[in-house]
Amino acid sequence: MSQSLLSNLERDALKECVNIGAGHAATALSGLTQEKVSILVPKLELVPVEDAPAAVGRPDEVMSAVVMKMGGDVSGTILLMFPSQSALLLSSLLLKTEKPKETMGEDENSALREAGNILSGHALNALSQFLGFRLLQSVPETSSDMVGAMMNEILVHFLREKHENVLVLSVSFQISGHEIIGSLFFLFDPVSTKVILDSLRKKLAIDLG
Amino acid sequence: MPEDPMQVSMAHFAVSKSRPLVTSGVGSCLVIVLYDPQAKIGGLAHTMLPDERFEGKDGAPQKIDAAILVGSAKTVGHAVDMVLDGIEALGGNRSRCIAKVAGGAHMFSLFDAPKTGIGQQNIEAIRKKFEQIKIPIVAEDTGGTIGRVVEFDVQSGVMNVTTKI
Repeated sequence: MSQSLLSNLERDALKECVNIGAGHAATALSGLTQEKVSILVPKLELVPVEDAPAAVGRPDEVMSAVVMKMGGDVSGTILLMFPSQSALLLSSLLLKTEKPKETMGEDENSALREAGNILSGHALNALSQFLGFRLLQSVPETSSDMVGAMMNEILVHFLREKHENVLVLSVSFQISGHEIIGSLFFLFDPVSTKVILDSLRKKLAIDLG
Repeated sequence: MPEDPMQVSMAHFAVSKSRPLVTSGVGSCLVIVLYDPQAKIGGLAHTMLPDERFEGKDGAPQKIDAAILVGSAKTVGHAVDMVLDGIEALGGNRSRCIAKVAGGAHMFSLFDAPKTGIGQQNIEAIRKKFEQIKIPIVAEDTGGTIGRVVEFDVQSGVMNVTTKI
């Protein structure tokens, strides 16, 4: 399966889904931090599993991640990725500490997990309503390490389910005035991608190529 | 002057006579280094999975489509065979080869328990493979919960393992 297997209309429809989810997530993040949150244009990539880490970051770059599994009518993984400095700043903002810590401790990770929980909860809720199917999320888990190392374990599960490719939908956001940047990723296998596209077809009653 | 290391990415392998080989961001993946000390020829593979067989959703063993594996170092056993072929193609001899392995960490408990996770499965798979083909593992840095960077200096045969956190 290659990029061309998704028509332009399908790509746009999937990006619109991310936009809807990210919009709700951004509103939630704005409420949490009491700051203005802006989101950038969503991105879509359909790539072989082993190429997916490059869609997230440089393999040796250290980042903080909140990881959740998606279940229900489709399965996939949600990732919330922050550059180390942004993760420290955001957790400090959420914990209302005066100065950010130098490394992620238990409190910082807990704050980040909670942010991940709320953000993805809002995003999935909006998506379930829009697409008309059930989307559930697992408890969040955090890790701070090299992007490649974290992606290894996440991606292996796509191979295990015999999927050669993975659909990576992403959107970056920033919190104004705090230099906090992050990205929200949705990873779907090709079977789930098809389920989403079928729902979109019904929903929009359009011919998606 | 030392040569620039060659980057080996996930699911890939490389063999070399002089140029150092490096791979970064190794989590549950397993890095396999094979070395013929007499010929000073070595190879490195960044593998992801223990073997071609997995338990599917229903718990029944399934075989991954062969197409996924062609020309890739995704699985431990397949990668070892490809690296050994590569070393011999450069003039080495597999009967002289020694092995070093690193990786197999358990990064998240969201997917598997530590003792049965993919990292541990990879470690067990490589030990079994080298036992079968009678190549000794002379150095091993496996398990744990953090990612690794693995650098292999083919001229000295030294494998360096570092972390970033």
